[in-house]
Parts: sequence; C-alpha cells; structure tokens
Amino acid sequence: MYLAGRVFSDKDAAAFEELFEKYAALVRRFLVSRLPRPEDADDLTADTFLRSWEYLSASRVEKPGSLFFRVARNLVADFYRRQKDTVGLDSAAEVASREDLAGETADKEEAAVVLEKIASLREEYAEILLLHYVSEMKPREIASITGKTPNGVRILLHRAKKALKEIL
Amino acid sequence: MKNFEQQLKSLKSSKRIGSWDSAARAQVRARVMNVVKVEAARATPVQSLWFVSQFISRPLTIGTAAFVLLTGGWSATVSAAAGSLPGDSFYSVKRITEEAQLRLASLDRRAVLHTEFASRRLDEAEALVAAADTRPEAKALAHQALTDYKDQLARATADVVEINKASDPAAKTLVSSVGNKITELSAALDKTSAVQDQSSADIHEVKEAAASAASAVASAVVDVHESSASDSSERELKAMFSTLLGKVQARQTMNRHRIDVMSAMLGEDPERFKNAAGVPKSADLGSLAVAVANTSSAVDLAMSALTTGGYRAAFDELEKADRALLATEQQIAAYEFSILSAPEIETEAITPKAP
Repeated sequence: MYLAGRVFSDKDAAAFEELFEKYAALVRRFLVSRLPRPEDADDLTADTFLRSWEYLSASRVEKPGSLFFRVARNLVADFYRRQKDTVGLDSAAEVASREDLAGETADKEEAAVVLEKIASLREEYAEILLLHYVSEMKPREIASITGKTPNGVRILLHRAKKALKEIL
Repeated sequence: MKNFEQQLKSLKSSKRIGSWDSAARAQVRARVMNVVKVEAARATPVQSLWFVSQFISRPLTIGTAAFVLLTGGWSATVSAAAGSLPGDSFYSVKRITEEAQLRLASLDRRAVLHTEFASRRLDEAEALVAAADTRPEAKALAHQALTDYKDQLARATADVVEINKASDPAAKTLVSSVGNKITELSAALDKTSAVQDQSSADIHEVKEAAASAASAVASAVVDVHESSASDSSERELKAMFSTLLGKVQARQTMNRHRIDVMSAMLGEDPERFKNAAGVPKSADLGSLAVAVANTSSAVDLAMSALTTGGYRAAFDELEKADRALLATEQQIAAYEFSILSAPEIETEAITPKAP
C-alpha cells in the first residue's frame, strides 16, 4: 500500500521507516555535496526526516521523495544563513573551500575538483547537477521539487553541463 | 579515458561523496525513529473512523457491500483501501465501494460523487507517475487512471446536463456548484505532472475531453442563469469564467516559454541540431509563436463579452482560445521530443585546470 498514505491515515511508523530506508542515502548524498562536513550532512539528514514526518502525518502527500528533497534544500539554505550570520561569509563555495576542499593537498581527487567547480556555478546550475548526478534524481523528480516542468529541467541540465565544461 | 558524461556520473561514488558509514547511518535512523515511534504511539488514526461512519450510515442492500460485511473485516478493509493505488491489492475494494455509493445515490448526489471520483483518479495518476521509477507498470496504470478521470468527468457532465432539465430550483443551484467543480477539475489536469511533458495521443484526448466537459457545463450554467437571473448563478458563472481564463492564460504563458526555450537551445548548439530529424527550424517556431499570440484576440473578445453580460459568447471565445492552444501544445511537445532526442556530440573527458 502507498507508504505516505499510511503515514497520513494511520501515523504508521513502519511505513515511515520504509520511506527512510528508501530515501535517506539519496538525501544524505545531496547534503554531503552541499555542506562542508559529513557530520553536518548526517545532522541535516536527521532533521530532514523529522520535519518530513511532521508534515506527512498531518497532510496527504503524493510524492514523499520530492518533499524530502524540498525540506533538505531549505535546511541547506538555513545552514548557510546561520553561517553567514556567525562568520560573515558570502557564499557556500567559500565555506566549502575553507573546510576541506581547497588547498589541503596538491594532488586532489579529480572528482573533488569537479565538485568544487560545480559549487562555484550559479545556484540553480549547481543544484540541478548535484540532484541529477549525485542524488540520481530523474528530471521528472527534480521538476516536482523545483516547480519546473520536466522538459524545463532537461533543458536547464543541458545548460548547466555546458557552463561546467566552460570552467573546467 | 572517461568522457564528460561518465565523469559526472562517477561523482556519486567519489571519495568526497562516498558511502555512508554504517554506524553513522544507524545513529541517524535511531535518532529519527525514536521520535517517530513515540509520536505514532500517541496518535489516533482519524481517517479510518471517517470511512467506518460513512458505511454505517448507508443501508447495506448492495451485494458487494454485503459481501465485504460478511467477510468480517469490512471497516478495516475499506479503510485500508482508501489510500490504495491501481495495482495495489486493495484497489479493487476502493473501486467497488465507489460503484456501490453511485448505485445508492440520487441524481444530484451522483453528480457530486463523480466529481469526487474524478479528483481521486487525478491524484492516483500523479502518485503513479511519482512511483514510475520503482514500479515498471506505473506509467501504464497512470494512463489508465487518466482515462478513468476522463470517464468520471464525462459522467459528471452528463449528470449536470440531466439535472439542468429538471424544474426543481434546488437542483438548479446544484448545477452551478457542480459545474464550477468540473471546471476546476478540468483546469487542474494541466497542472499535474501526469500530463506535463507527455505528447501521447491518449493524453491529448484526455485534455480535449476535459476542455469539452468545461464547455458543456459552462453552457448548462449559462442556461440556469438565463432562466433564474439570480445573483448566486451570476457569481458561479463569474467564478467559472475566472478559472477557465486562468487556465487559458497559463497555457499561453507556458507555450510561449517553451517556444522561447527551444529557440534558445537551437541557437546555442546549432551543430548538434543541424541535421537532426524532426527538429524545427526558426520559421516553424515563429509560426507557433504567432498561433499562440493570435489566441489573445479571442481572450480579449471573451473578456469584453463578459463585461456586457454576454456569458455565452464569453465562454465560446474562451473555448476557441483553449482549443487553439491545445493544438499548439501538441506540436510543441513533438518538437521538444525531437530536440531532446537529437544525439549529443561526444566530447572527451576534460582534465580540470590547476587552480
């Protein structure tokens, strides 16, 4: 039976746990790619699912996967807003590079450099590349999170890849 | 050497992203589920009680409902069926229950039920599309749910037309409110991801049927207004017009945007699309843009007719614009498919420059 429906109608903890097993790793991957440290990603993964439980048990939601990623996105924005307040940084890229991506070793993993370049792209390009390639979301799923049409997402993805090629 | 696409795909298994340490994962799961289990234990499942009360209040003379009663677990069964989707084990109970409700209902109650069931079919189609990656049969089931939505909408419309023939004033009031609901359902179809990004003939047929339903009920509601000239029927008419106008204007904006995006894509990568099959030329996109722009004159005529009380003319003009936009949409979807299917020009992996 439809898991989110069971959470709404019966406050079914077992159904919610199934949703956790299905989505937690994907959500965490997205968060790891957006946050400075794995521990931050673990904390925000837990917060994502706790907030989503409150929402799912009070409202009928047809796409729980989209809800989890929407909540995760908002938590990332809140995270950097708090960072900006406490340390006065301008952008997520600066925080990420300060933490462990930039300058630790001369011979960095190629993927780490690519991720750094992605982080320096404009927000909507960076996000769509990470949602698609890191969290393995299909254009239709990304569309339901971002409010775009699936074709709009495919076109944005095409542009994001082109922008990345230009700076690599 | 990996190509660019493979480089991107390998990001998810990179050291930076990595796999989730099992102890850390277990800690996060425990943190979440400890809270969830406590809150779940406190909650009462209200929705299942609603379903029980619905069935206790109705006389059980229908064979299938009696069968469910005899099997002993009827309230739990019906409750379990409530959120089920096509392909789920309880879905047939859900549909049998709906048919039982319809057979017990009077004409006016049936019209209301048909709109409720049309809304459910739309929700089911959305849920199935969302589950398409884990259920191979989901897309086909979603198409069937949309066909059932079309059927329920048609039955609701037929009921409204039938009610309209009655002389009972209370029934006439219902024509307006159910007519409004049908118009909203017709507009809601465009917003669902089950139909966005689809260019199949079946989906187009569902959209055409929704447009026809909206037009038929508009005509019925105008009839009611012309015979009663009441304030409430005028309010309902204006509300319906507003819903349909919003739908047409949203369609115009979306179509224009899609044409602009296609133009931009063709301009950015001309080599890729030069010889690709089915890809439009700029003159083709220009013709589509003109077709969309031309619908504005029908919309202007509709709005002028509304301000002078010419409701029938207003709805007719709006319907003209809607159908023209539907035809344009079909062509846009076909062009988009050709553009997105055009083969990429292979590039070699790019070695990142040193910082």
